[in-house]
Amino acid sequence: MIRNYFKIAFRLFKKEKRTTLTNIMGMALGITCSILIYLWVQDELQYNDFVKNGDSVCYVMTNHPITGGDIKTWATTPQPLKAVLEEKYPVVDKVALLSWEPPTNFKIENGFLQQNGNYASPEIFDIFQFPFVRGGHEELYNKTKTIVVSERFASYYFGENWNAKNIIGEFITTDNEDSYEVVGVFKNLPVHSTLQFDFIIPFAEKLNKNPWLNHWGNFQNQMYVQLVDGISVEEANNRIKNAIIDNRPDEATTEELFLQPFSETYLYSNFEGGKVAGGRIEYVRILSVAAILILLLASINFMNLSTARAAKRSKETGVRKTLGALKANLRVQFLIESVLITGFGFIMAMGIVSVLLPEFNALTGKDIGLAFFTPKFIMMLVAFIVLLGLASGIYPAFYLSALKPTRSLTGGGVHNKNEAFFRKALMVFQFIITMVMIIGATSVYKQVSYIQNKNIGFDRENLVEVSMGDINPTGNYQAYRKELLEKPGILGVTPINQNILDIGNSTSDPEWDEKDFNEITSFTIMCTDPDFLSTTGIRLKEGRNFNRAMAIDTANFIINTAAQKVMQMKDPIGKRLGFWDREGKIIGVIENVHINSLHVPIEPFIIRYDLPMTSKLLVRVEANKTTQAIASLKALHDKFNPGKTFNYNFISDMYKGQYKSELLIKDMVFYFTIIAILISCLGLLSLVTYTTNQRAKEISIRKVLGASITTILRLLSKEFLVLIILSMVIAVPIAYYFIWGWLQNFAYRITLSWVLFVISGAVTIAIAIFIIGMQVLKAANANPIKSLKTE
Amino acid sequence: MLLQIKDLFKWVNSGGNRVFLLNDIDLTVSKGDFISIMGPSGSGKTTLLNVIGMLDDFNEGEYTFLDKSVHTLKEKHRANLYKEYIGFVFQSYHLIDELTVYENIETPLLYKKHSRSERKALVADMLDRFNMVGKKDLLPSQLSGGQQQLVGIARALVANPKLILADEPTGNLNSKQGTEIMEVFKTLNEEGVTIIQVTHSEKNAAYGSRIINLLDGRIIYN
Repeated sequence: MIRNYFKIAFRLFKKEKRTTLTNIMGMALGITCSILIYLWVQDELQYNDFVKNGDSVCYVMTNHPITGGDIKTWATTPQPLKAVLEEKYPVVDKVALLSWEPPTNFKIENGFLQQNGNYASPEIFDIFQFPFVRGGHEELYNKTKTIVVSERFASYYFGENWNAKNIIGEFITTDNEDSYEVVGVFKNLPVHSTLQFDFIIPFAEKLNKNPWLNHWGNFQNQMYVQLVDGISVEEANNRIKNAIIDNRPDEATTEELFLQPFSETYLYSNFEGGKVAGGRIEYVRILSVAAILILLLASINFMNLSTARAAKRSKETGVRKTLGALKANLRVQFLIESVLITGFGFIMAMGIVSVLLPEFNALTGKDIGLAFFTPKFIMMLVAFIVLLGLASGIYPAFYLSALKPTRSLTGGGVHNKNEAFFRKALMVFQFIITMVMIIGATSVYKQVSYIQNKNIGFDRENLVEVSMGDINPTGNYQAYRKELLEKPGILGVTPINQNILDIGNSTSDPEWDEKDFNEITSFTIMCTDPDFLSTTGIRLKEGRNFNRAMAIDTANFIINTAAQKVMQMKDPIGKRLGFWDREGKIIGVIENVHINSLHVPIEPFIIRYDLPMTSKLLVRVEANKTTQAIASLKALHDKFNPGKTFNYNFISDMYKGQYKSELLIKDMVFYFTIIAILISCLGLLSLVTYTTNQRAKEISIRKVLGASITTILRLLSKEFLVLIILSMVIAVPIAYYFIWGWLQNFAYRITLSWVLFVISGAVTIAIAIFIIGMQVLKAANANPIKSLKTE
Repeated sequence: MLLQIKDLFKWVNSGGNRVFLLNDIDLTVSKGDFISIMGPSGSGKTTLLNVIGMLDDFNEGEYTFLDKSVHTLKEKHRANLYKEYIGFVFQSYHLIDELTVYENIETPLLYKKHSRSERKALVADMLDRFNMVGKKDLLPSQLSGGQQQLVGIARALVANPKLILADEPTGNLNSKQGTEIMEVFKTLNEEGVTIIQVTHSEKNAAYGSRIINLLDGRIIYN
């Protein structure tokens, strides 16, 4: 019997090639999308999942209350906190500090090896249990001039066959002439880890070099803890919350601690009001929903097409019933057909996925390989395909098996009003989904291009950041500057203390007359020189720039409009301002400049003329002469920093890097929307074909009676257009709601104008009219005798 | 007695009026009968046949088939009844287009859960009987009308029914093919199969042992 079902299914597919192909293609597209999204989501969810102790490993965050009741969450902690947590808080088992470090250069035979690594407490290896292949991390506790390296590091440094050599006890030298004894080689860290390093030097070494880190006020390090077995994160949180407040000896503070399970740090990296407020998890959710919706579209296509074809199948159903088939027999038969269609769709989808996977990896920056296709995964997919087939087939199966044989044998009884309504409802639903996706994709696109083109207050193109190296900002910098400015392609240079796009240095120390000391206002600080404004292109609103000739200017400040506002100064020029070691005056006010990401509002900002603090250079190069300019920079770097590597970054690239997630989501949403449109169009196409076939006789009669092709076109299109416009009316508020919610992630965003909705709708309608028109024209142009004769 | 119908009514409501399709039908069919139902278009011939074949409901009255009252049966039992005892032959043959001659004849046996070898034997018998062994792998579209109807009859017969219901079995055939089919029915009837046919043709009706005339849903007694 089952064999018979298969047989008839295959013969039917062969006979109705076009419908079957439409069905299979729709399914294949839907399944392709969902497999790709599933792979991406799985890959995202895998991050930080490798830790054996699961939730007992946490990252320590600090909450800093600021003016207006808001709380800023930092991923940094002060160094003395480690000892306090270890000694006074029994819920904490182990604590590890980890520094933030730029890439370090190690001397090798003829040049340098650049590697990423940190200074860290050796406990980091106890907490994460990263396995060692040689030696271990015990020596890190005993000696500060030691280093453990990854296998990757070892093979770069000691050669491919490092394994054969005895490298334990060898010394490794950095370009700063610091030598470290190798005491262990650990396995490369898992790819799906936010924690990435290729070497670790004891944190004690960092402390030796930077004793100021011992101060409670320096929130400079990452901190990981392992909780005692059986303690929940929540409970531990309650216990250690006030660890800084209760233990800081020198002054009263307000910073609270909170623990975030390490497994969540990747997906939940946004904080608002001191609490977790999403992060990449939002994109995981958005895409998961998109996958489900796209599958739904494909499934609806199938349902619509199957019920529309009921007229053709009804005779067979009737005959089978008179031959003794039960409803159940017929349902099984139709379900087998839909599972088969889905199965073919699946096979086709697998083909498409394997072709698209490299492109998809390039797009998402992932490395998803065929390794994903484990037997377990395949089994799961097969189960899923059967389920999808059943879900899509269940309605048609019940519908067809319920047809009465007396009516189905005469070919009547299938033009059921309810059923036509159902089919239309499904189509409307499909178009709502599609339209929401189109509007969504357009809005995301607009917001992302808004970010990319937004005037952030300075010209980020052709701006290069280079490390200062051995150049002494208060010494030979002036000579360097003079020489550099003579080189072709160089327009300006200024020393700075931190990345202009991501100023992490902030303080609430500044004091001015009339300051309300009950309020804590945090200011971001940039230490630089008088060339800062001309190099960046930031404009002065009032007052003057620093003057190199005036020694007193090093105690003066330039502020931005946001700072002026929080300081409540009507006429700030000449007003007293002081913080840290300097007491001076405000000499200038600049426009508000986006120094941090557009996700957050512009913060109060103070510029100091403070050369000793600077550590990097910001260089303005001439457009179209960037290669030449970089070459000049390198030449000069090599002259002033013999034996050191030259690193540079374009600020515009860094800017793009800040919005990596958004750029990714823009591309993914774009492609998936195209697929959704394709699927819906396939559905519309087959439905229009069906309807015109159904009405072939009516069309013929009308033509015989003298109707023109345009009248017929209008008559047949009207029904579909009304449905599509209805979908649009429903889709717009839904899309508006979701897009509005997404845009709340940005402090600076596009306004949602009706134009966007109208354009999205117009595009959909244009596509629909094209499809309807093509089919209807075919029907309207057919010779009427043909369809009249068949009756 | 094979079946008995008593005081049977069937109607539809059309614009507030009750239109009777079958009006007070009384009918008894015995084993071995060959009954022809005649009457003008719209007189209710097909409806009556469908009611007898349990493909259609009725509104009032009693219908007993082999001592079981049909009007109280559930769908499943009804299906069992006609699976077991009734074979249908249609004017437009109603073969399944996607199946071969062999497979078409085999289909009722699938629903009766015969084993594979049994099915093979029974279908082979039928093919032999109607001289269609050479055509068993053809699709319906490759056969002439008369041949298709023969397949239809073979399919109705294969499950060894007690009753064959034929709705204008020769309606789509030319006279030569029609005669052939009627000869087949005659032979079957002589072998003991009960047959009820709907027909327009006096000549075909004459093959039967009894004629029932219908007009506006009523039986006209001569």
